[in-house]
Amino acid sequence: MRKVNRRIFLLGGAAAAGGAALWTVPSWVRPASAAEPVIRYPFTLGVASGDPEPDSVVLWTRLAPAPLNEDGLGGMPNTTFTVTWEVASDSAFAFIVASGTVTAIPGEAHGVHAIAGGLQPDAWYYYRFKVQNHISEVGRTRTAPALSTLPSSLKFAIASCQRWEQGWYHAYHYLADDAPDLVLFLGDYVYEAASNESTDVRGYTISDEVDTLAQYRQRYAQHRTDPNLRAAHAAAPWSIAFDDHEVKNNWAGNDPTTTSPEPGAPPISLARKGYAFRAWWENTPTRIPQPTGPSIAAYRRFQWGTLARFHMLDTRQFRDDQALDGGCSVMRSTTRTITGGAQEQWLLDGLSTQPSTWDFLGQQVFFASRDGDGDPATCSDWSTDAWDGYAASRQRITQGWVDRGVRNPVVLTGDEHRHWAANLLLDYYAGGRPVGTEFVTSSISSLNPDPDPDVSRMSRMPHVRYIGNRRGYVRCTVTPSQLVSEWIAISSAFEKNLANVTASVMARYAVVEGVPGLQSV
Amino acid sequence: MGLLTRFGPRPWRLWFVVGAALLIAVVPAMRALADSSQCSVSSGTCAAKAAFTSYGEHLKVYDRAADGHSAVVLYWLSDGTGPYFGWNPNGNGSVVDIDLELPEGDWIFFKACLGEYGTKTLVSGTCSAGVTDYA
Repeated sequence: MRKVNRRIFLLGGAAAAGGAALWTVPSWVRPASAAEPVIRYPFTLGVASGDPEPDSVVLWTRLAPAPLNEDGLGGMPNTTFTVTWEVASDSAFAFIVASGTVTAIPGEAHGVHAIAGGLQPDAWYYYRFKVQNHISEVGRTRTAPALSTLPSSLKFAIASCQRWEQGWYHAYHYLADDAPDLVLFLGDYVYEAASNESTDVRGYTISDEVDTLAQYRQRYAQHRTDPNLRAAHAAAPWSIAFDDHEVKNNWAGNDPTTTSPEPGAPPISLARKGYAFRAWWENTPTRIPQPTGPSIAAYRRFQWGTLARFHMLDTRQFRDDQALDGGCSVMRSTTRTITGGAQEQWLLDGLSTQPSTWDFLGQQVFFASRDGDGDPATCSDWSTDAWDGYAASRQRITQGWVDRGVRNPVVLTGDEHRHWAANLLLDYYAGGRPVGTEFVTSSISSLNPDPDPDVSRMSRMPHVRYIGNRRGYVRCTVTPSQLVSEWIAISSAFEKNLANVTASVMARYAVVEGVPGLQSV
Repeated sequence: MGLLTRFGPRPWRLWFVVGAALLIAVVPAMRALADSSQCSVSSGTCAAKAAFTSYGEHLKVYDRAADGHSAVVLYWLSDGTGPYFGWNPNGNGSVVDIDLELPEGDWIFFKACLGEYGTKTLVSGTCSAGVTDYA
């Protein structure tokens, strides 16, 4: 027995609009124009919102009636389409507060970014899109509080690393169920790599590594076919940062001669970076301007009233190339940078003003020191890709927030495929009181086959308070007096049936306002 | 501004009329795009063929060459799953009919390949380009 879904119902508009009884037909039921051929239901990739401000939020969708087509164009005709968006204060859309139209163009893979303005601060809304006679699913979003107001609380989630074929996205079901005010995604939204591992729960249609614009676009679409990911996007606004896998594993910097993914590997081309950035932008609900070639203005900040401020960093595009393993002299160079000079100054200048109680640095790679042998003279186990490989950069920024009297700095991190919680210190060998806190979220689905650090290594990293190698996310509840963070893990990302998967709080810590560092709760 | 000019609640009777009009005017045009097929990539022949029929959502796998390989279709569905493998191990001239249950209007994306049924492996380089069709 066939299940008749709503699409066939909605399709009826086009036929009716062409009939005689136009006066009885809703105005939004619009037949395709000569330049706009009839398309099938195009909202297969869902809807999303992002980068909320007190009076506006970005609304996103992408038209793709055939999302997996290997030309990356989603089955769309090579012409422009007019897309209508609406924002309402109720889920039935009886009270519409803002609306507009956007032109979806082939050159942007018919991705749509609409800035819904004129909204009330600190308010929840519903939104949806329409093209021809098709109406999208409804998303829920919200604005940030007014800059000068102190909200009583903020609940946000952090997530990262969602390698599509390596696991089911059950973590997103539970994340959406939490109804957060905001989701921060800290990198590795898609993976460029080839796939065909025996443990894979599903497979890419393009099994080779992707490196063309068409392939990057198609891979975003394939990730977006996951219903739990679409539901999480529809549940709250996201602020999204990219890491390496949106381009190429471990890429670094802008110099084509040094943008080497691995020591000894050939550099990736600037053209490829441009394709990757473009596809990321087309598929992301962001205010970031459209990238031009191999460059994108990704670092930014936004504020949640006087309660919190988020500094979203880009630790890929302006970093020095990674040192070779054990390259101590390189990793200790005092001129070394993971942010680039301009972004570092932008961050420190921003931290000089403190309009909000909590300062969150949303970024990609592990920030705290992880020197497992505890010997400052060696660096054989330092991660060359994380802040350990750019120790002077970490020191300048940490000292920078201390010098500026930042009361509550919290670094939020992805990339690790493992939960971590750590105190941040000015000198990890001398110890001393924490000057900040780091929350690292595990992956949504990406595997981590590496063993946990052993007991002896952990004993030399007393600032690290928690490690967990399970898939999941971190949820944070912020108030003027404290921040409570919970590390959530799902029971399995291999089990397909959500009914057989549970989510558990694996660790819970608090940070008290004005007292950096983790406290047990 | 009345409700009918918005996306909001609308009279169901109107929808019924509109939906009925659709069946007459729109679906035939859409159907003309459906019922697609793909051939595996092999030397000059269509050794494995996969064909999708929208009506009833049938995916048929044809073995069309006595080449020692099986025909197989790989397909992905709109719920974020795939590839599913539909094998025809029955030799040249045979067809296997996969009767799917898909929601009306949902997409399916598939490729035709040659494979080894015993080891459940694909023959490298034989998969067709993918194609999207609709239930």
